[in-house]
Amino acid sequence: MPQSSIFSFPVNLIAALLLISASFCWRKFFSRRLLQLIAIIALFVFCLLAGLLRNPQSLTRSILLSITGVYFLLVLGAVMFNNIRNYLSLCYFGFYLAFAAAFFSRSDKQEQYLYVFRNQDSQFLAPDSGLLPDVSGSLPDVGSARLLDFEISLFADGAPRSFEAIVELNHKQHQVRVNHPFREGKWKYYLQSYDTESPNPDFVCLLCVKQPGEVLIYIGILIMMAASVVTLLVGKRKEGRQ
Amino acid sequence: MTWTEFVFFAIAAMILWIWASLRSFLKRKKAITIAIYFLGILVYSSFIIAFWISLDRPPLRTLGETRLWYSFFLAIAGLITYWRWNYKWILSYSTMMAAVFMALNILKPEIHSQSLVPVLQSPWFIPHVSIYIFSYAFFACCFIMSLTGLCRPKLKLMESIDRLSIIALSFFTIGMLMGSMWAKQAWGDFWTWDPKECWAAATWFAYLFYFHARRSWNFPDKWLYLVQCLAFVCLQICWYGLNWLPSASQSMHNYAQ
Repeated sequence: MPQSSIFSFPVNLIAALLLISASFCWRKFFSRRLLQLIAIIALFVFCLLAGLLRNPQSLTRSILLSITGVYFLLVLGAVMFNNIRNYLSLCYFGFYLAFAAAFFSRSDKQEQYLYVFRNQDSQFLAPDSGLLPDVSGSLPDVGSARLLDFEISLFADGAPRSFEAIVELNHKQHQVRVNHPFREGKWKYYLQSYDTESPNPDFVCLLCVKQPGEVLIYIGILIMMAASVVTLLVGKRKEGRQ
Repeated sequence: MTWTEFVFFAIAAMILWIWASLRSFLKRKKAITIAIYFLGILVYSSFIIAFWISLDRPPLRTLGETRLWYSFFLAIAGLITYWRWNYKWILSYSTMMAAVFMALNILKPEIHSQSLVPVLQSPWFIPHVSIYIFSYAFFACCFIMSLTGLCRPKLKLMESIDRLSIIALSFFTIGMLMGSMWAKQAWGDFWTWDPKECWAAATWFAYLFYFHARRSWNFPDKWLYLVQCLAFVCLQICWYGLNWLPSASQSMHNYAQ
């Protein structure tokens, strides 16, 4: 994941607004049935290829995703504007909001690994750069970090049943375990891994994530879920072939 | 309340569910059928509540406990669908599926204490999986009807396939969205282009294609049946076929194998 690019804020916001305007202005053109069908097939094929590849990142970080995504958003936006009075527009809107927010906030998303030790200073590592600290992206404001405690219980075969760390970050204690990240400022911290070589782990690895479009994505998802329920309960009962 | 008492509640709920399912076929009053089925759900949920209280924690930690919830959600989804769409067979279908998970809990007591791996210990796990399973069942019906349509072209099945597909796709969408929110909680991102996610999205787009082909393009029935079959193949790959693909080794969903 590139930590900063020419598509970072505010360029991505301007691009999103331009795309919405284009969808609105040419809504009749882009909501043509053939273009809709092509958009669905394009994303279907893209997902199929990504699902078959051993290393899908080569595809999902390529320009191909950007082109497919922009085209799909143009068509989806046009369909949404064309069906504004239809109950299905809620579904289109939710999908559009979640997809567009995720798509355009990609370049602003920051990810870093933070290794927190018991008796050493913490250390940042970028997810994709091996052992080299990443300096191109912004880092969470971590003045001090220490691993205070780590509890683990194991299955009979030695696999972890559950694990939980207590870390001190900027003189505040936080409990962190899988599925239960904690937030400090604009960053969220996820327990990613731990020192598996020692029975009393000496360090844990936290994934630090800052995703500016997160709230919009959540709103889009919730609208889409509500729309799915509406489709299920209120959907047209009889829609034969016209 | 312990697992020992589960069998009594399971049998009582099952009797009520089977009774309601039979009534739904016999053109009896729908409201009473719904009430009987709902009573079964109440009996079943009373065990869950009592079990929850006796454990002093939500029963979400072990394999047996999660299967307890599958049956619960399957029964609820079946009842809602029957209430809304009036399909006579849906109650017996959801009862049968719920019975499978109840029987597993009764016949395989060793799963009662089998803990889930850490990433599965989440409140999203049960609704995500049970809603998916429910949608899979509907997609399977569509697939069987499509095969029937291919073999016997004179039968008019498209209307029924449409309705079932809408229900299935709605549940599938909700399941997928729940999965994305869970992924955000567990892995820090809504969408990671994991092979499982890619195949779920491919399945979703395949069914969207079906609706577009059906409503906007006036495709011949034979082609629409084939689209349904193709979409169902995608679903099977997403569900378990993925394990045989080269991309499986990279999947973060490997614990589901």
